[in-house]
Amino acid sequence: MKNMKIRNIFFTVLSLIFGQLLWAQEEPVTAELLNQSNKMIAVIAVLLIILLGITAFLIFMEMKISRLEDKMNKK
Amino acid sequence: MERFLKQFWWKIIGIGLLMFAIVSGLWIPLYQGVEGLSFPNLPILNESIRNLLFHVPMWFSMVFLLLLSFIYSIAYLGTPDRMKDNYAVGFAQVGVLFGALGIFTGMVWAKSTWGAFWTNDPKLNGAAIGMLIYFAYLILRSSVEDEMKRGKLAASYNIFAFNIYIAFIFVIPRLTDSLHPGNGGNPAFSSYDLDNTLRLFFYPASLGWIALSMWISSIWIRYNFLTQEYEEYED
Amino acid sequence: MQNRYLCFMKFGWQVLNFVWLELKLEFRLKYAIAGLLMFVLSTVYLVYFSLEYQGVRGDLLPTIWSIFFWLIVLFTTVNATFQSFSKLSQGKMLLYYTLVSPQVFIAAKLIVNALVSLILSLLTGLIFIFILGNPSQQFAVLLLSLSIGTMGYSLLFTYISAIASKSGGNASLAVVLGFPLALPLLSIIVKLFGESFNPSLSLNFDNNLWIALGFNFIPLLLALILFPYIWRD
Repeated sequence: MKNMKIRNIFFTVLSLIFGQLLWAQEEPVTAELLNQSNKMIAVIAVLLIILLGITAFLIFMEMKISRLEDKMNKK
Repeated sequence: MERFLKQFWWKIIGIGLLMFAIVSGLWIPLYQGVEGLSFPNLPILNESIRNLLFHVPMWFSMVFLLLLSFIYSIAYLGTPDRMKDNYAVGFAQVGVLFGALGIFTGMVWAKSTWGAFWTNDPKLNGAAIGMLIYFAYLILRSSVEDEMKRGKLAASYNIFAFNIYIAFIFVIPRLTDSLHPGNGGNPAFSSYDLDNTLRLFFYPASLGWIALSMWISSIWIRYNFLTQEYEEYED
Repeated sequence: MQNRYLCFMKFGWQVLNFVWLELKLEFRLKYAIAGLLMFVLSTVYLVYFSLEYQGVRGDLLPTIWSIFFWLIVLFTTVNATFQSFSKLSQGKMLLYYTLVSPQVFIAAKLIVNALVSLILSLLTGLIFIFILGNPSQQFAVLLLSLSIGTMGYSLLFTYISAIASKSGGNASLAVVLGFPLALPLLSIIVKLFGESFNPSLSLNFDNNLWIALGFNFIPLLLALILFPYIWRD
């Protein structure tokens, strides 16, 4: 069972890297078409950018609030 | 808890898990009869099964935040303290936000699988009622001026509401017909819908969403507390 | 053990006394009960006239009967429970502080409100049957679901009214706070109630009945636990 999980994770990482090559020959369904025409990459990239944007905003807010809290405590 | 909310490691892990969920959830193909890493290919769901990594964890994080709010309300009734009240209301507000997100993702999913944005499903009604209950909680807070009194009344209402709400969303869908899995004869996630591959991605995604919701609510709570203190300082 | 038993007996005795006092007060202030009855009668007549002038009273659907019935019962219950708190003056409240413990107070209030709203809803049912006819095929199921539903509402709204009156709000705040919480019970009770229109019961009836009883039990327990915290200002 444990081996299975490790293998699965290994395959995931591997398939993330070589996904394009591995599934390029499948019969075309919607996601496959998206994969083939590189549109899925665009979707994933946009989602990741949104997520990273949210993260950056949260980090910015956190730092700002920490600074203000320090200031407040000094007063 | 306060110290835990200021630490950074779990936030980084949460964001990492979310990135993992986005990439893997959209990249891995459905099962096409070929061995290898794939999501189950179910008749009605088809490609929309990927939404499982986004819609369901949002509900998990909502229930988790409401549970935290409930715990802080109990603590407030034990020993009244402004910070605990702040935590209770902040968690409830962000919980409502995540509930709304869950409703939107669920509506999109329902449109593609059941054919309508809103169906008369017990879980949907439960979600809508839950939103109403917590709006009522926020209305109650805004209608009381005195801080001590507001804290006590809001905390007792929160405890009251959370119990009824949880009883509703966990008991009723199991006893009436529902389009959701696990209700009224439909097979549950655990039997075959959520197979081992999907589970491998579903649990990390849930943890990631919960971490994100905790982070957002911690910032929101600290921001509110800071505003209050500043107003008092100004006075 | 003996001591605890005695304590329980004492608690029960106090509650009973308090219930008796409250009931006497409730029926001495005749305008309160009379006002609620007026509300019921005039809304039933409103329903009657609107159905009569549309010419649909003869073949009235049981569904419509039940919708009107539950709307009227719901609002009557809210009014009845809310006024039991709002008519308490500050001085009377102070008197109660010194006389009884919060648990006795809320237990008595819960019992009195359940009784009063049970009587009111049974009267409403009678008036409905008298004026609009009796659509039910299993009268016992109708009575059972009616009494469980009304008791559940009144228990829930008693606590909600306590919160609303403490916050200095009016009856509309009680409605805002209570209706979302009453919806779970309402959904299950309407289901039970609808079964009385069918010749036979469905398979789920027992389960739904237990859930409805559970929704009576949760507010009761929570009110007893939580009321002492909001009792004093």
